[in-house]
Amino acid sequence: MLSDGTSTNYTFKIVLLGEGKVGKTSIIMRFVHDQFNKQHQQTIQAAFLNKKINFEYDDNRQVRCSLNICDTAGQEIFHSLGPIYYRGSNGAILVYDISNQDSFEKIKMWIKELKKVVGDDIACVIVGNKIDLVKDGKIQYDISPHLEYAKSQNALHFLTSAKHNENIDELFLEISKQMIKAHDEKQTANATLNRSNSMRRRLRVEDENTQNDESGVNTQSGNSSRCCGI
Amino acid sequence: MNISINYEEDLQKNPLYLTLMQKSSLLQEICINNWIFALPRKSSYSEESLKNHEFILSHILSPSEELPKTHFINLIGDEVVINEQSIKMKNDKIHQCVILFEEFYFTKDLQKFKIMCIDMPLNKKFGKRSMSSNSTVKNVQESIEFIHQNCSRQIERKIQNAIKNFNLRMQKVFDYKQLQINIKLLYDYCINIASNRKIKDDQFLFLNVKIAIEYIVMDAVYEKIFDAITIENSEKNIEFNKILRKLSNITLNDLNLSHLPEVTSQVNENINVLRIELLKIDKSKCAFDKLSCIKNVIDIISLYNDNKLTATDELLPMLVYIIIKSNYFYFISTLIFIKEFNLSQILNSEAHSVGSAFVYILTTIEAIIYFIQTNEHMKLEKNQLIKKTITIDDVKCQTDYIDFLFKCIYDNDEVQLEKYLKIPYSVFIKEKTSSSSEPSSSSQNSVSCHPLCACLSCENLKNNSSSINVNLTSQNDMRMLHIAAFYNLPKIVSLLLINDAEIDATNENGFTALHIASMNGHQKVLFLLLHGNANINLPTKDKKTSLILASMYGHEHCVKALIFFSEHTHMAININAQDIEGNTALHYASQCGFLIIVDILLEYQAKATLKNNIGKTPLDYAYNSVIKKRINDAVKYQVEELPVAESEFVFIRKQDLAEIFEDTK
Repeated sequence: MLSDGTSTNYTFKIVLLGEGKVGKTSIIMRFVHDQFNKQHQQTIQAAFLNKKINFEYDDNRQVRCSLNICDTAGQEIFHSLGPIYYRGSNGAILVYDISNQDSFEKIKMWIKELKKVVGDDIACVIVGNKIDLVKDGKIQYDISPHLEYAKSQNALHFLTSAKHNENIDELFLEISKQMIKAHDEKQTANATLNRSNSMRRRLRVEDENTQNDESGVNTQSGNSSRCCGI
Repeated sequence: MNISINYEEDLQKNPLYLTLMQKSSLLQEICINNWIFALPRKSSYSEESLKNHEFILSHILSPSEELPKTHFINLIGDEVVINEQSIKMKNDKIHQCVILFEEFYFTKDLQKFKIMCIDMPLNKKFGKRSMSSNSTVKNVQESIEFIHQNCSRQIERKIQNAIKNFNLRMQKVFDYKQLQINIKLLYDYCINIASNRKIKDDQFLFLNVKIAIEYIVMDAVYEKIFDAITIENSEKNIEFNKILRKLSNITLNDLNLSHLPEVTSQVNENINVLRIELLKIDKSKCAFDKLSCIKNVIDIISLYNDNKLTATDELLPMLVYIIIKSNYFYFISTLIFIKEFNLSQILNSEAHSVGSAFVYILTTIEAIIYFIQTNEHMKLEKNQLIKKTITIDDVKCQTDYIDFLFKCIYDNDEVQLEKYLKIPYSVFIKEKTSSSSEPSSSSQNSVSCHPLCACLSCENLKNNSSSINVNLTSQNDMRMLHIAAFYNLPKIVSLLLINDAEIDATNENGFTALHIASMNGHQKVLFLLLHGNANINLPTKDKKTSLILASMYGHEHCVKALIFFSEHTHMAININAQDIEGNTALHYASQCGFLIIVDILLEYQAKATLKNNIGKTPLDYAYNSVIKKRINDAVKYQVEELPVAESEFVFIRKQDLAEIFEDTK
């Protein structure tokens, strides 16, 4: 993931999950939107967006994160394609609509699936969007069960309003910090492993392979070929 | 190439950026006022400029309420205009800076400002004289030119020789693995000799060299390696192409897109534009060129979406649709090619944002291929031939009755079907309405006095009853025999045939049961129909014969069945029949890479020289070099038959024979 030797420059892949109409697209559009020229952005419609942010990390390092944000299809018929998109992602943003309990139930399912495919390393952030509805007094909303669930899954929880641009920057900065943390920890773990004897290192590599194989099997429910058929 | 690979650099290494980071009070001011920092790229300014305080101030732009939104004032008081892609000083007509990319800076208390990287300083006096280019090569010509400019004559010649040598050595090599290894070696060799220290020091220049060499190498070896990929993976290709054919009649509504009526109708109307755009993938010889073809298709779709940005939920089904409709049969090979032969490794350099955009497109193609592979039966499931919930109690009118009979077939319920085949609707409905009061009283009407009775009314009943319902048609002219052939139900087919079903009856598209069985690969049904004297050469409305359909959809066992049956029964099959587009069975089989079918057809003297309406022969459509060779070999042995004028044919009828016979008497 590191693009050069100093650990100030990171590239992360973030997948965006959520049912249709919860405001997935508005959230990323809001985050990426205030850029001037559309010609030079490496974006593919609202399906793939890239934004680079510079900020000061907790240990006073100046860091630069290039965030590659991938939208996924929320429709039922495309559900089986999920794992192809999650592969190799460092973070996941799971969006639900606070006025729609069903959309939260979907999130539970996605988190399960994500952890199966990508493992526990992935930084998850659960986002309740459309908080403006509560402020306008249009609906009542009890956040505590959602917070509890997020805690049990070791995920952060954010309430946002894409409409009024509330908490969007915070959300992306926070997930970036989470990903940096996970990445650095992995890096040091690898470094110590590298220093110990080569036998252990080989074992680790094998571990990784079997893990991948498992995820492959999970994704295609019994089909013996690999998921894309290649 | 269509997407340019943009200039990019690590701002943390840009001296001017670092200078600003040290001036914390200025930094804070920028944040609070939401100013913009226009940062000239690293190699564009001289080191002396850094010492000049004016240099940094002139690049900090503050919006002004009195001026239009695109106008800014920099901290030394000049007016600056920002357009879509460029920034310039208002009073300088010529000097214009290109915006290369944008980034954001966040402070700890979440204040932010924008950084725009530009290709040179706003004010010319800070700039350097010579600067390297900030765009990458976009095609082979540019690549050759680029190498010519950046490398010595000697290196250029070395590269040319290496490629020439490679082609000579590989002339007789067809093994995929061997080719793959050698191409990678060739590429690495060329990169090695082309990159001197000066090139390696400049990351962007080095990237450019890599891309240029990829263009040059691929230009020379593409045909060979792509052919090797299609041969190496022919089974996967064939399997996938069969599915593509099977799904070819799909509509956008089958893909759950009914909530976007405007876009879908636009996509439908412009499907040819989209197809042509997608087919450019065939002509591109580089992995990233191929990916940018897909990107272009995506961009066109969003044009139809009112320029609103399209999300994955809408994009994915549309791309699935376009890929199925594209009539392009190399998707599996293309995917492998992109994965294995992105020689410059742009796709793997995710740190470069263009790499990650390409990776996303690749992921999308992979997802679409997987989706198509796992949804082979989508069309079958969506198919409205059968009302699956109908029961005998729902029957209210004649159409319901037909639906109910179709449902019996779908359930493979012979007993029920046989019973109701003999009860005409009028009798059935009378029975049904009266059944509540006195069951089975009226049913006597339709039952003979005694199973062996031979009175007039009973005889009539026997004669008619068998075929009373068997030839009923639904709204789109579907008959029971069609349904049974479609769902592969041989028992029902024979039951219907015994009950005098009209064997060559056609539906609204001119399909007989034999066509349906051939198209869907139902060999047993096919044999039953052939034995029942179905016309083997009947064309559909599109003039497709059963043989064309079986070859087109890749059902080799049906092709064999048709040919062998015709051979053994003197029911001559027209092996060279042409459909409405002038294509023969061999055209279709050759185009999709169905090698076994090509072999069978050629064995039975299918003509390899017939041209379709656009003048293409099966040879022109040959899927890969293996099929090309088979057809070429066949052509050599096929003796060109002399055309026979129709008048020279003499038809001899039975009566003629009788007359001749009598004459001789």
